[in-house]
Amino acid sequence: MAIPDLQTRLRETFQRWMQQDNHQRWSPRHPLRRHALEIFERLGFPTTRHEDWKYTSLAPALRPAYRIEIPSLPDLALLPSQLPALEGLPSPQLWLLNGIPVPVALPPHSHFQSFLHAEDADPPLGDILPSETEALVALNTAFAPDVAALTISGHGDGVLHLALVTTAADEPQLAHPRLSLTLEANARQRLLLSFHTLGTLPAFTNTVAEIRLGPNTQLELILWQPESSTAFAITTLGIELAQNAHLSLWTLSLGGALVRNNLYIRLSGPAATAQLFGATMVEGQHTVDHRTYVEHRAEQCTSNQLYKSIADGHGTVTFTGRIYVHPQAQKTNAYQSHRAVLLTGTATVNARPQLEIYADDVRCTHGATAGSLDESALFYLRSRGVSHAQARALLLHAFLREALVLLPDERLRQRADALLAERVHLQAAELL
Amino acid sequence: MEPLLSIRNLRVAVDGREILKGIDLEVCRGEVHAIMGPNGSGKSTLAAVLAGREGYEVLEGEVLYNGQNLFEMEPEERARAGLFLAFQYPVEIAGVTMATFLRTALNEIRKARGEEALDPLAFLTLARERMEWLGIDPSFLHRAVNEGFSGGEKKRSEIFQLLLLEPQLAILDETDSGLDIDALKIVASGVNRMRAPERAFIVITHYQRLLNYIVPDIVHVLFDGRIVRSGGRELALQLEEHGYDWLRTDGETVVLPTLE
Ligand SMILES: Nc1ncnc2c1ncn2[C@@H]1O[C@H](COP(=O)(O)OP(=O)(O)OP(=O)(O)O)[C@@H](O)[C@H]1O
Ligand SMILES: [Mg+2]
Repeated sequence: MAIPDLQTRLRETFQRWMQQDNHQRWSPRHPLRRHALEIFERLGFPTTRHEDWKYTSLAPALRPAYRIEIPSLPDLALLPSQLPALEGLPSPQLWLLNGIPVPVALPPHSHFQSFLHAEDADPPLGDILPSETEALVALNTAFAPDVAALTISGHGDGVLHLALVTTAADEPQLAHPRLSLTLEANARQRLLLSFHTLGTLPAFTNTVAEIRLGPNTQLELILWQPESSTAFAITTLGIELAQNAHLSLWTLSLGGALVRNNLYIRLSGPAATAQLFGATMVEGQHTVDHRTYVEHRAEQCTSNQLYKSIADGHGTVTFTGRIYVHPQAQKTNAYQSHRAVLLTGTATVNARPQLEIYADDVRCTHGATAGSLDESALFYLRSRGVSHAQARALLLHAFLREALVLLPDERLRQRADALLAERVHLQAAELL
Repeated sequence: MEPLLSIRNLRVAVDGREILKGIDLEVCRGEVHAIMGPNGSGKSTLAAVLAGREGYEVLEGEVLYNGQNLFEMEPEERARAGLFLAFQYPVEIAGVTMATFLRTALNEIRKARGEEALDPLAFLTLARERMEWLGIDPSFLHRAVNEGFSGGEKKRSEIFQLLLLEPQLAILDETDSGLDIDALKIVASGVNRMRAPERAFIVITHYQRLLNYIVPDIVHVLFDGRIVRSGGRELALQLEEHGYDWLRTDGETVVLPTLE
């Protein structure tokens, strides 16, 4: 007998839970969840006919026979040793294990709440995300086992580390982590979100995070996506910036079966700034797809996007950068650039800028390039005795690193440097 | 004595167009050769072919370096065997520091010579000493390779690399162009410091001025892909005075034998 498709299985599970309704962690009765399921049912999983999914097919991610039941918690004590990718990172203060939040050692200037019943969530869920139009956001709202809500006031020193782990050791796993983060006025935080899979079976992690930056806040956010060939990771972030709020976001994506990052950035208060950086490397059959949507809603805001990508093997990198400037957003500065190096004839890079500008006083530039390594640079290095392989590695490393030079945390930057070096087969010890 | 470099009837084309039309040149250890010639005559092409840049088609002839067929060696193998080209247009490389680049290069070359690799500290000590010889600021090592260097700084950087890598055959392609007179003297003194019985230089220049400081043993004139004159220093003075027109108009060009 054929296994029913994933959408059918999700619906049936939801209905069964409705009848049982004896879950500790999850109440299907809440209208928000039921509404979300209806939206998901109506939209269905996006296909490549969907404009936003033109270059990336979700189909392979939908095939595995995922476990849909509310997951059990993996053994926290064992986790660090099971996750080599955590090496070199600060120890996590909050885990999201198959979507279930487990706080460990949150700093005093933060306040953590878990909203087992989403109706209690404050601020309300989903209002800074395209909850009505994005099937995967709706799916997360319907199925997220919990909402991890963090409020930050004051200044945090060091890095706050949230590790998201999806376990797929015995069965393919489908997880829906949900995060809500608020920086209260004048707060400052450096936040690392690292993504991990445990086990060798397919792990589909459909993460949704809502982040609200109050007036005069500063958030430095790092999305740490190490390589995982069995990972399907869809991450949707909605970030709203109030007056004079500053966001810097770095995305390090080292490849996966399918990595898709949807960044919805809303500059809602005057003089807010957002800078987005991405360093991406794919090989084998990996796919990484960055979709940014930067919305200028207030005047005198600045946004800047710099993404650098290397595509090797049969890998694919897609970048779709949308900039939308509302009529009232005068004196806007909006910049965007995607630079890619293709190492093989079988690798693919897609880049699409999408600009919609309805204000007159706007400075906006965008650019996309894709090419091979600079031959004259390669020759210059070789003419001094550096081997072809080493010269190539040095150039590739330098190319990607440009997207990470502004990463403020020394330890993270060094770790990122070392990971990139490893990926381009550069002896990190050579770096001076 | 066997010459360090021996070029015989070298003909080279770029994009199907013949640029070098039969070059013969022998360079022995201890010698300094100057090559002069009008724009587009093929000087940089010759230098690039010797260093191993891709995109050149060797139509005929051979080049022996230390008795080895140069065309069978990769660019990095040539460098490790002691060949060095100071580029007319040094390449800017964002994101790679001079220190990283040059320690990697030096250690490759040292390995080929059978010497120990230098650790970062030993490297920095040596590099700082050589930079001092040229009056280069120590911060230079932490800048990206040639990035944002002024024209003069780029040329100085090339000579610094020469001092650091200690090649056997150094080809200087218009290292004097873009240098003010003080910088020119400094660069020349750097080169002179490296002159040694076992080392040879090919100095490509448009100006006699450089040759006042780096005194050549032999001057060659490259004209339309051929060496049409070879002589002593006075040839450079003649060129300075008369330009290249007299070479164009005297019909038959005579190739003088190189000095023994
Ligand atoms: N990669 C190339 N593609 C096409 N033509 C080339 C290339 N390299 C050199 N040439 C041509 O070969 C000829 C010789 O160039 P080359 O750079 O060797 O001259 P040069 O003697 O060094 O001149 P200058 O004094 O101006 O530096 C020129 O006509 C040049 O245009
Ligand atoms: Mg030239």
